[in-house]
Amino acid sequence: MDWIELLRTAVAAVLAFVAWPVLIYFLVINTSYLVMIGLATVDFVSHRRRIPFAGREELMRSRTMPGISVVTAMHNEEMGIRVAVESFLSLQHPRHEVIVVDDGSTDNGFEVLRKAFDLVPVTRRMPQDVAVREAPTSIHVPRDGRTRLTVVGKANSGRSDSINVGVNLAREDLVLFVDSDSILDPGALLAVSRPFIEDPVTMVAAGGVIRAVNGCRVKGGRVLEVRMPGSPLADIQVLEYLRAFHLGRAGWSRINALLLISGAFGVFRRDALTSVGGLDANSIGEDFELVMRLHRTLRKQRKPCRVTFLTEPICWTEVPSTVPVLRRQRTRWHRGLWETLWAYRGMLFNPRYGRLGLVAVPYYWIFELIAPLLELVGLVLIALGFALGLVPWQYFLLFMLVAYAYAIIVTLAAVTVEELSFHKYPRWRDLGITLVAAVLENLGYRQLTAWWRLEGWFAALTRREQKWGTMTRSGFTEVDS
Amino acid sequence: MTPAQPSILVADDDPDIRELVVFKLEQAGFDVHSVADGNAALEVLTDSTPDLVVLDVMMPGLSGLDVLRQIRAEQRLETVKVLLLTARARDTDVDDGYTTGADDYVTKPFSPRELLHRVNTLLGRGR
Amino acid sequence: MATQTVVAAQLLSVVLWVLVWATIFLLALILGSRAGRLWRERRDRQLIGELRPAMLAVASGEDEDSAALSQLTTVTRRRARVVDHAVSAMLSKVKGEPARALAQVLRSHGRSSWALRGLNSKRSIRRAYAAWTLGLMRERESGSKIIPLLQDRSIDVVVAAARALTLIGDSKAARAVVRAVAPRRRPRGLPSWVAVECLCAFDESVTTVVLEATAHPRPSVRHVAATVIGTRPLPRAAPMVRERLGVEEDPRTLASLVAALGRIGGATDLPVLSRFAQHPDETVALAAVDALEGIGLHSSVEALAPLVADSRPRLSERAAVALTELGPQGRERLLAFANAPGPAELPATYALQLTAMRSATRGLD
Repeated sequence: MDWIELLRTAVAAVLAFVAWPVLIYFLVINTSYLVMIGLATVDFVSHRRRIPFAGREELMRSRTMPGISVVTAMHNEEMGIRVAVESFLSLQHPRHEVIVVDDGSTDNGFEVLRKAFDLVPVTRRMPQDVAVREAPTSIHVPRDGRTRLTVVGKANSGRSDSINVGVNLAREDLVLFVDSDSILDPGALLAVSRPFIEDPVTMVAAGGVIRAVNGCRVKGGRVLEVRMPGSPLADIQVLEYLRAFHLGRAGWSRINALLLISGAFGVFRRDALTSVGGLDANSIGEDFELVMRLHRTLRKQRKPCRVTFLTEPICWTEVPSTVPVLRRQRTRWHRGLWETLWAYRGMLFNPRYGRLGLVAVPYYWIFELIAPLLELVGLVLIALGFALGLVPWQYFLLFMLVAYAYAIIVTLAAVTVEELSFHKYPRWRDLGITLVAAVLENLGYRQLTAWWRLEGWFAALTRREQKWGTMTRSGFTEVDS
Repeated sequence: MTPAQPSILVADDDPDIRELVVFKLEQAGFDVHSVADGNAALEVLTDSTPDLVVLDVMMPGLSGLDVLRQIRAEQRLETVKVLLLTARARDTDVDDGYTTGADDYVTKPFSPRELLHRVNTLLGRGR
Repeated sequence: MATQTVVAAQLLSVVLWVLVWATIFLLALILGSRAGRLWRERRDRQLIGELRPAMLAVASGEDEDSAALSQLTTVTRRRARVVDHAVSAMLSKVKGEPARALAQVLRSHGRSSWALRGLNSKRSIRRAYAAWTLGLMRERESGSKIIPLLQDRSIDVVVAAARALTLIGDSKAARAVVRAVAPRRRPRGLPSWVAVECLCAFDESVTTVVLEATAHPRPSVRHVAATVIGTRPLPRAAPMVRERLGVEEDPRTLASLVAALGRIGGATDLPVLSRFAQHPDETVALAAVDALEGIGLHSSVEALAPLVADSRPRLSERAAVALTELGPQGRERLLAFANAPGPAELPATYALQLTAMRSATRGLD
């Protein structure tokens, strides 16, 4: 038939260009992951060995310990906010405070907090370190006058603006942004403060990848036992975060080119934060955009700017367990990535930004931004080529191996490093689930998320309005005493 | 000879310290229970009223100070003496302990003999 | 029409074999490491389990006939490693006679000589461990051997050495510790918190070194010195602090100096501190407010009162709260502010609110 011949010619023509580059692309990306995981292994092993004399207790005792303000924005979180705030307040740190900014919630979240902590209103002026859109309408503190909790009420204006309000009211030198549905390990604040104590002059931000808490045993805002969720969608995401966690550590922060990616949490030095204007309320990129801005602004001012990645897994959050919510999250992330990378395109290959501009930013362009496009186009073309008999089966097999089998190896490597270093998943059953998920991920999940990322990118390019949507909470598996 | 051995509750997440304190106090003849975190401590306190509680300030979950506040807020536990184990000797930390109602404190690293001495003093045994 | 994408059969089989072997290798590593770890943990628990009561007896000082001590010192070499590990952990938590007894256990297993040899090891982890172990054993004589490690090329070793010297408490190391904060040839120096803890643990003779350090060319060193003066505290350093306040440029160090003056200064320093409360850097200004409160005299009230009307909200709040801590005189001034319209009204109201809330819950004390 005519149209099939036409198709064949067209596909053959494209394949002539694309066949080997696509293969090389997959080879390079998977190998780079493997290299980074290898570097991560070295780091983790030496980190573990250092723990006996790392001096965490002494750190607690130290009189030079900077204070830290935990800032969280709350929007319709009545179900989990009390436990979250209690857990934030009881984190181990000699001097920390918790600031909850109620972003115009329409549920009973504030009432829940008021009853739980016996809140009373106080009259305070908000410093204007960072410009905000919506000023606070109320400030409450617990009646005992000692518990370092501040609950701020304001009209709805989004997470970024709410956090900026929190930054203004923060009284300590460091600020940690965390989502109110996240769980922090008891030692999280100490772990997070450490880079700033060791390098007080140049360190301006530190980040860490969250770990998925779905399926874990949680009580009183603490993770008691780490477990795999058991549902394929959530399992695969656990794996994704695990991989990102181990990838992020190596390389990037070493060469001081670290950029925070979505699904992370960040801690910043307050003075650096306010000097660049806080979070950008207009950007979907949030923390990522902020780190880019810090790098650009401080380097322009010839001020030192170091961003590091945290070695320990300390922040847990619930990942989407249904497809629609996951889709919304991924489209939003990729959209934020695009907008930020485009906004800071001046840094691309710009030697003024050192290794950041010459290595990290281009890497993000190619291997994060354009990746889904290359993946899907490559897959479609080659599958089509194979179906049309244009591609020999050997090549098709090679492609499948390099693209997907290799990716499974990379994931296995990440699981290995996790096993060697943190071994947070004690049950053998979870190991089995992990291995199965590693395979399943490449049978549809990966392709689906690639498609969603392209959707997000397209939406950004056509400037469609971003819908945040609500995260349907299924709650943690609360353990009965 | 006192009619019953005084009962003591020890709460510390560090097993070394917990076992050490329990050992020392048991050797001295006290009736000792131990828990590993603040939540568990409060649970024990809902059912029983020990004579003294040894609390580590830095614990996961509810910190020692949180537990202390809850103890002092309850009428029934009015007579319970509280001894804090704290890593810090810095003024404000000690002040926090005292103003929330602790009876004494011991800084880490600690001397077990000193700890026993303070326990005895608090329980009026003055040995 | 076939394309040019001819793939050699060898390439394909090579790739296939590499992937298969990699999978096998990784799976073996995962399963092996988990199994190995579990086995090792169980074995260690068994080994240590029988000796745990003895260790607790020694650590709690209940070992009057030294029976437990001899039990611990006469273990087989295989057990000794596990015992040493547990004993080292315990050593960082106790002090006094039990610490000495535990150190003796380590020494009987040859840990002392092991550590001394380890100071010269090629591996940085070993050097760090060695220094740390010597510190745990509180071996005063090894202090001089640990001092060179403060200039080690690995930062972990430097930190371990400094912490060991803190435990040993030999003030002869003070100068070396200060030098380690700002090494000449390495980018990263000893973290200031370790240096401060170390210098605070030494005796009075450290004063000379600290005084010199307040004028060091590197700001990180000056910062450490200022912090030590304020936290120990070192009252004899007051004249030097006053002198440095006039010339110090680094804002962090300035804040530390101001804070130090709050602890060791007196009434004559109030004007200087009031001046610093007007400093453009907010950290310095806040430190000055805290210092004014720290001096804690009646005249401080006069110095703090005008600050309640400061345009910077954080400063005015801090000044107002400070006044609540300065007795009835301070509170009277706040009441006056709270009842009169003006920039001081809001912070004063807030501070009074806070005091009322705190005293309402003071309760049983």
